[in-house]
Amino acid sequence: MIVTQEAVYAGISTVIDPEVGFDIVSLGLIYNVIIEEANVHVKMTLSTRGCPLHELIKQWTKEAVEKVKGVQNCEIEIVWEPAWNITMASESVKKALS
Amino acid sequence: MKVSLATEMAPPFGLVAHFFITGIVFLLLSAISFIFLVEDFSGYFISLHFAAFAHLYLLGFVMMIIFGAMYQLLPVVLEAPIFSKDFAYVQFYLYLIGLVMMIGGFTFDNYFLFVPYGGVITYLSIIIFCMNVFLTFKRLDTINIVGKYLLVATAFLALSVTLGLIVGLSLGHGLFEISVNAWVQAHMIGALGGFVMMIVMGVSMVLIPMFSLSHGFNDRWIRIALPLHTVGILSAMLSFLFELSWLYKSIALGVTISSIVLYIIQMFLILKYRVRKQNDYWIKNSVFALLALVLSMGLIALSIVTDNTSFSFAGGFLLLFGFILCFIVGHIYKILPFLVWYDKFSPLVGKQKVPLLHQMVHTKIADIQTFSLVIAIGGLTLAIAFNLFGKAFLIGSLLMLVSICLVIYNIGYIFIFKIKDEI
Repeated sequence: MIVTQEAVYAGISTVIDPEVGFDIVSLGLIYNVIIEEANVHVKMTLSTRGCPLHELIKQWTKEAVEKVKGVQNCEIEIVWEPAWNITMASESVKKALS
Repeated sequence: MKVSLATEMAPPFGLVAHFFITGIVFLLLSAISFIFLVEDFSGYFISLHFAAFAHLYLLGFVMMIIFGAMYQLLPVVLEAPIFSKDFAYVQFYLYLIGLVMMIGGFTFDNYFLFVPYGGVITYLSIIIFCMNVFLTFKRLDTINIVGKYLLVATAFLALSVTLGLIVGLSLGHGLFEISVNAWVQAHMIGALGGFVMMIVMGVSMVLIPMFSLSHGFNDRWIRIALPLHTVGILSAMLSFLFELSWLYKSIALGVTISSIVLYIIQMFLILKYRVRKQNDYWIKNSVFALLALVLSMGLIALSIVTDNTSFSFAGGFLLLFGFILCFIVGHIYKILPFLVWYDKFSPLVGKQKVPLLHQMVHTKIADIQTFSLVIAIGGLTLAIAFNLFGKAFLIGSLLMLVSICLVIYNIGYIFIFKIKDEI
């Protein structure tokens, strides 16, 4: 079974940040997804360093990816460079926040 | 199963809830006690009733909430777990026993000797807290600007409670021959200006950008404020303790006020860059708190220049209730839903629909509460500044009590929130 970027992003987009109420893909928190057969590596960030949801969002993302058909293992890498800003979010998120 | 790091780093929900719930009970008691303060404001600076109220509000509410928040935020800010969660529980119970004894001693004439004993127990509990924080910091390789604020604040706490203990022992047993008024003033400056204010300044740099989604701002103002505030508070404590001249006290307080002005500039700069534009209960409380801080600094500066005691009382009231209370209430609406959500709903994520955090707060009640508190604080500040200790003071203090009851209603609402109610 071939794992596609679309399927992984669709899986991750089920993860909602309960503070702002948007999924983390629309928020622009996912920087990169690398797929190597059944293994997926997600490079992502969070909207704030020191966010109390840090570990939970990391865990939810891992679980969401591992639910995608064909994925056996997912590794999450949290990075702080480049720092997240609102320009990375989707137009619908920008509109809703303002 | 929650991820291991999350449970290792974060303190148990019950620990933080202990501090928060007890803090809110003390807030209610202090609001009731405040109604009867009219004679103290128009008379002596330090009466036993005033002391009971001050300890109910400052130690019972403000410090209790700060301790709880520190146990929650310290691991997040420092990215390291608290040194000992057991110490935190021991600290809570010792602190509660000591505080109840002290307040009982201040309130009932026959139990005045409870003050020094309660003071010793409270002192020990706070030293346990300080040691827990210091030992947490000892594990770190680097300390960021927020960490530096929290560390210096904790050092001020250890220093000021030591002064408070000496005052308590001198009052109860006459162990030391000291100028009680001077020592109480130094104790209050250290505890309020050194600990409470520096904790608020530090955690603001995490909470305000986090909840407003603010990025890309320059943080130089808060960096400059750190040494300035430290020197200002330390000099103010020494100048009051050794009863130095008015000039020394004024310079020390002036330096402290300048650092707070820098903090205010930093906060408005962060808010200028916010991308979350909704004017919810959090932003309303935060902005009002900052405006109250601006006004309180103005009143305190005016009182130094004009030597007007009423203005200094009004400024102090605005600082403690306009700024500190509104800041805490605004953040309780953000932090408490998260804590309850984390405990109750986070295990359900991915299995069933879970609420968003803002859905766990009763928005209309929160808005009415904020509005009534703003009116009450505005009225009371005017009443204190212009010595209107009649019906105006009574109406203001009753309105403040109503507002605090609405806070309690919302806290109950958050705790018993059920998914089917809102989703």
